Amino acid sequence: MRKSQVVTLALLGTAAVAATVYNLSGSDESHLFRNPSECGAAFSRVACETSFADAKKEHEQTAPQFRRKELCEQEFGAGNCEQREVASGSGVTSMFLPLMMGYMMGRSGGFAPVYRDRADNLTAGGRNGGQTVGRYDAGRQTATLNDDVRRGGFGRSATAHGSSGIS
Amino acid sequence: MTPRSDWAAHVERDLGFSFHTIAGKPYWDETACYRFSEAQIDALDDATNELEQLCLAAVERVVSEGCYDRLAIPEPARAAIERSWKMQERNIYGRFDLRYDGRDPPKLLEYNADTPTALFEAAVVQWDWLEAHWPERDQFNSIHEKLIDAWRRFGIGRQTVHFSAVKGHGEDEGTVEYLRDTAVQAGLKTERIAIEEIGWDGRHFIDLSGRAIDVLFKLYPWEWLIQEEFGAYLLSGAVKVIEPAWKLVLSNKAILAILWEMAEGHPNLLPTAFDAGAIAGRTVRKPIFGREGANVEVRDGDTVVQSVPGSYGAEGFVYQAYAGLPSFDGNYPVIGSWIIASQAAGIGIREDANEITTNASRFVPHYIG
Repeated sequence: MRKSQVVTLALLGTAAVAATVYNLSGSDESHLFRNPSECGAAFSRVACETSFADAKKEHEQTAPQFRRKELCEQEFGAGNCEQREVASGSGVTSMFLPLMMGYMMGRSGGFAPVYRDRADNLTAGGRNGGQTVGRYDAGRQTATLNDDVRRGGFGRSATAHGSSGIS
Repeated sequence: MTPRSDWAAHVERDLGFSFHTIAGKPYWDETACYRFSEAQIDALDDATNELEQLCLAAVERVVSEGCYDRLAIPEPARAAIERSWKMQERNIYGRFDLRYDGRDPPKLLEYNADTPTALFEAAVVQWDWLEAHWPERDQFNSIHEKLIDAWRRFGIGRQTVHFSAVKGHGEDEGTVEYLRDTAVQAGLKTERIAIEEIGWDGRHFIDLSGRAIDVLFKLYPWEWLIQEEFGAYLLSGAVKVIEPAWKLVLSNKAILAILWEMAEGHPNLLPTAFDAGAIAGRTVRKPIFGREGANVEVRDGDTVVQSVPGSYGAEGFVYQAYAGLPSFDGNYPVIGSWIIASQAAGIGIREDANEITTNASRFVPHYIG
């Protein structure tokens, strides 16, 4: 025989979208992702990136702040807090914030940053947050983006030649 | 043939084949199929392995002679090509486009060595079609098995392979996702990232989780990558790239003229030259860096008989002797013959109502019998 004996797919077909569904606020069916790339398996890239950016902004504005690292880690667990410069009265001060481990995205456009607590529960943050939305899985990574990374250095030629495909 | 009544729902739901219809026109076409004899498949199989050996010899010649100017390969890319060739960096795949009428020897029209597509259709959708109609029949198609085997032998170990394509292009994303699927089945760790999302932190390419990218599979032409902002970092060897840099020599239409120089008169080659006057009779002018049939012209002397518009051609052209495609019921098939890790692996047929195959052509399945 000159054909494959068996052709099975691990990712494509019905198993392609493995996003976990969580209820964030009643009717708004929500999904939990660690980064826009993971989200891209279930939603459009634009929607994923917009929600991610919104959740990150929400995180920066509303994340709980602690003066000392130990206090932050008491609630969010060892290694799950980072030091940030935040606006304080007339100047800036150094505070400890939980790391954003991922984000929630709702079908109707809702979003929220997600934190991991010291008991490995994942909780929704932001203005309407507080609910437990899942369990932390050690195999998954955090969603922190390194601000020193430049992006967009590839892809220009595809635009120049039109998006008709490459071969 | 009568298509399966639920074919569209089936291929979408069960195979994850999302680009069966492109721009409102059918791309996967099971209203017809091609039948080959064993002897015809032998001819295609042998020609494909033979062409692969000729191509590898051509890379060796270009690298040893350093004749990159003839291929319009820019200076900064040359050291990377030499390094990847001398280190014998492995390759996964390529697609030879062949003219074959079932009688005369198959002729090489061109080689898609760097970014071939129509892979998933050939490897999976066509196989699934055969199983639905005639599970007892055979097909020249062990692409899927050979891909999984190729990943196992690639030597990637515990490193993660990042699979990358242009954002929002369903066909390319589907092809890359299929390749990632075969890598996962071979036990590799994988991630996805769009070409546009790849980051650079000054030392490493960085994914969206902030991790360094060790191995990058890119369905994006090398000649584009090296012209772009991060191109120099890629050429510096900051990441292992699949396909390897030496494929720049083969993904280039100038190689068709070099192959003819090296093996003039070979039964699987068409006369090809850099000089329009060197080929007698009707010729096909092809841009050295061209894709999807863009800027291809059929010429008779200085008269243009047929042409496809496009944005390619700045680097020059080659002229190939015109070999009319056979016509079946008014359709012109081109055989895409797959080479996986340098071994012939099967075919996929694309048909067009026009003699120049473009990205609007239809994929038609085949069987042996």
